[in-house]
Amino acid sequence: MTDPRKLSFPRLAVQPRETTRHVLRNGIVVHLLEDHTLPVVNLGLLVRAGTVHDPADRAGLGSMTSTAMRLGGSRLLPGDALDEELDHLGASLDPGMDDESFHLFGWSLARHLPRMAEIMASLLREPAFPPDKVELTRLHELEMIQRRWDTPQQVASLMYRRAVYGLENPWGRLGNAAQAKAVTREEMIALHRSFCRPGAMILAAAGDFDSSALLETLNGALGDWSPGPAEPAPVPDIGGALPPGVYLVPREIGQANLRIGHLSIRQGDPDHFALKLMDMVLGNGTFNSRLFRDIRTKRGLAYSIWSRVNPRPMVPGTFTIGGETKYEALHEAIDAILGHIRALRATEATDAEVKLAKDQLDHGLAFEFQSSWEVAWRSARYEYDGLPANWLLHEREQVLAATKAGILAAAKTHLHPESLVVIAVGDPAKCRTTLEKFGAVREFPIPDTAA
Amino acid sequence: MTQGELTPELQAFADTVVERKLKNGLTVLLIPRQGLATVHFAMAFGVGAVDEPDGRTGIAHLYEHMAFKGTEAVGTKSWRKERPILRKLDEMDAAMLAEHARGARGDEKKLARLKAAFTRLEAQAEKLVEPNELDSVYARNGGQGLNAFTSQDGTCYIIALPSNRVALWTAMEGSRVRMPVLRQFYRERNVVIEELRIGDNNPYARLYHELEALAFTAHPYRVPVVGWKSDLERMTRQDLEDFFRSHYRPDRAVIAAVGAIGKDTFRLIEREFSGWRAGTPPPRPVVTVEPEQQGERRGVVHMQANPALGEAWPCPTWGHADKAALDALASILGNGNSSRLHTGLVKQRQIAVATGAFTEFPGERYPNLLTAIVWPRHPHTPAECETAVTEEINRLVKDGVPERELEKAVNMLEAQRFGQLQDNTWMAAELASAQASLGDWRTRLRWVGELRALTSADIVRVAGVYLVPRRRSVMTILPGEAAAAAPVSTAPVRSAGPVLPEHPDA
Repeated sequence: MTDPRKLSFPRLAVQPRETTRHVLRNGIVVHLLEDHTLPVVNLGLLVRAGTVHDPADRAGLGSMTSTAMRLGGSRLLPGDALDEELDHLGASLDPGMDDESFHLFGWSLARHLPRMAEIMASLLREPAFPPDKVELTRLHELEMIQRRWDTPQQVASLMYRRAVYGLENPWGRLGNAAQAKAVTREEMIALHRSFCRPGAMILAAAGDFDSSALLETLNGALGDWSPGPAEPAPVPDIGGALPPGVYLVPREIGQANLRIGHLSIRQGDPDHFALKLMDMVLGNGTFNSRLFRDIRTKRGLAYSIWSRVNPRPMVPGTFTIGGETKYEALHEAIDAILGHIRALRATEATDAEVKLAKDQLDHGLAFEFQSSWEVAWRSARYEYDGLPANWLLHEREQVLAATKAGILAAAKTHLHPESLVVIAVGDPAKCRTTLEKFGAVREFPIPDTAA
Repeated sequence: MTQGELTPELQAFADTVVERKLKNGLTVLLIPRQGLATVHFAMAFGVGAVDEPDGRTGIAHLYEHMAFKGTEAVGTKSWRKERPILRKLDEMDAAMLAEHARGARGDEKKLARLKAAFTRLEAQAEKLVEPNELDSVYARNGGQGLNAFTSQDGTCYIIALPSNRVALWTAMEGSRVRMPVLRQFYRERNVVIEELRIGDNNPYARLYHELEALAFTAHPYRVPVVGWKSDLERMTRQDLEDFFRSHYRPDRAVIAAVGAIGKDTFRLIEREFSGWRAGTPPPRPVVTVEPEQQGERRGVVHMQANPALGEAWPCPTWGHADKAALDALASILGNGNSSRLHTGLVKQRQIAVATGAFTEFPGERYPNLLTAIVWPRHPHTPAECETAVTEEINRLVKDGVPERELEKAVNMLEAQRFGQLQDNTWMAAELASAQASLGDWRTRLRWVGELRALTSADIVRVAGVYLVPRRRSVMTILPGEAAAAAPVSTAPVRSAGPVLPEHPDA
């Protein structure tokens, strides 16, 4: 038998797949990639918007507006008829609002593409917001507020965000029932009118179509929509992060859930590349990251254990470590995690660690192009984020050029063991005493869902 | 089109699949895709949680974890030095188990002595380990998505590689099935117990596990894939080696490769796998048949979460004449925003926030469950939702199903078929698993033709026969304090629920 460790292979020459970029008559940017492997098409749209632009007393307006667009349908195709037709086509069309964008994803068999373009256009241009579906949206939102805390992992993630950004900060706040009840149909209509404009739209499509025919279809469906200014409301920079320290979120569950971290870099930070490499060494990638190898493989303390450096475009992003462990091992797990953070600031990573991370990135280049939809969506995403079209290759080159000295320097600059927020979700009777060994423990209960 | 034929679009896809078989019984499926510089591998085994003996539940999934620990070559500094230590650890573990088994009569001091010696020896073994080397060999070659899944029906291992590294995959996987070494076992067992706890505390996973435990009394589908915690705590390395030897065999294995398939792909597979032989006679198949249910079953779980409702009715699986009609019935009831349950409970009555219905739970190798799931909207109760589900079913039986509604359900199932083939790795996993567990990768492609042949009368008939209260199991999650004792164990193998807004970790 061949020993797999002894095999070596030449570098694979990879031919990048690229979208073609087009502009519709009214300025809507379109990225297209034909792929005739299967008779299906993926669509995606980005519009300049985001839940962080919601007014201070209306957290939830953006996401409720996008839900109401879908539930209410358009003037020509009301919600129930829209549901019926999409199901009959076996297709999907889902708008949504996240922190920093409005998006709409569509999927269908290729033969339905012309109709999908019509439906998408009517939903974007003339959503009806009928009062009964606005109310259904509200009921849905209220239930989701209620169910937000059903899983320990989501409790940990949401409470961590609230702590590191601040309870009222646009990136940390959560809509509550009172705000969801206060949102009006008129506010939804006004919000839709303000952001959903051709001047701020980028569309991506990949799949089994002819590009010129699709462009004609899109120009027919969207091209006569008069462009208009689309400037989302400014986001107040209000800060409000909770002080660093240990926060206990009481919950009677069978193991503790952890999030440990602090705010970190913005997109475009010159240390982005070194931090990305550091993140791979620490806990974002293979079974051989430090956290996985130590806390899962060697000590057997956790099923999931990971790190993420997540830069954001408008405000500082986050550096986070997450995982879960049994109460008896909580001290050992937190101690080990803190040790790994300190170690990154104290000593250079080993040559072997850096080489493994770089090799995986380098030789994995072919995977960046294996899905036509991922290629098309990435192109749209880069343009939306203001990144150059060649960002993928540029970023890889820069990460591959980063050194262990660079990692150490970036860790010293960007990791702050004294400023960590530790969120532990668990049974106070089983973890409070342990947590106190890491500092004063503040109780941090989930907010009253009825509030 | 007649029953069993493929639709033209699916036929076009099926024509791209090349099927080969080695003399040892190993099936190989090659699916070339143009324009790719990657190959996506799946290796599926027709062995899942259903094949576990009592007292060893969770062993299929635990073995899957252990299969990442390497081989006699990969993952060790010296197999020659490591082997006797692993054997000694097993002996000490057996001695500790025996002492445990004595219960209150056990010798505490002896146990403590054994444990201390065990810990010392384990540390010695650890020094010989090259940790996660299987992963690092793949990673340094650009491998992506190294993973595996265990279900009730089967186990599937996946990885994708740059197209010029097929020989790496065949060498690694060929040795992984022929000379695996189950090192670091006692730690990995703890990792799996943490995985079990994740499922225990997640209502969306918990509902499914409680429902299967309620609906099955005899068939192994009653046990969650992750197994029972007490079984896991007493599992031995020898148990896993025995399980491997009898169940991981070429005649139960299928390799699927999707992507840049070259002229030498099959030759490389043949070179590394043709020497693989089954070590034992074929294992005994599952013989237990779930007895016909004679009355409704009900269960409740209290946990710190919002309410949920699951209802299930026994239904047949592949090879039965009613299979396609039941699949279409489930789709009419609970697939999409215009389905009966969503329309009735979410839009009209407004007593639920999300609904769903599907077949093939907890598996599809054996007769399974048509399952309906409802997430009630506060302050409405699971009981109200249950009544509404019953009304929807009764209305369907009484008033029938318009032909267009059936056509819609079938359109959705067919389109979803293509959706699932889009991802290269998933396609490999899906075809390999279908071949390994169901015996034919075309099963689900032909099924679309069977769906197209259905009439409305078929749907109404199966609804009237299968979805009757006498055959129903009803599981409810209610908020409230959990019992002080450890609750029933469940696994996070299947999680579905309302489409809760995603909050990726910031």
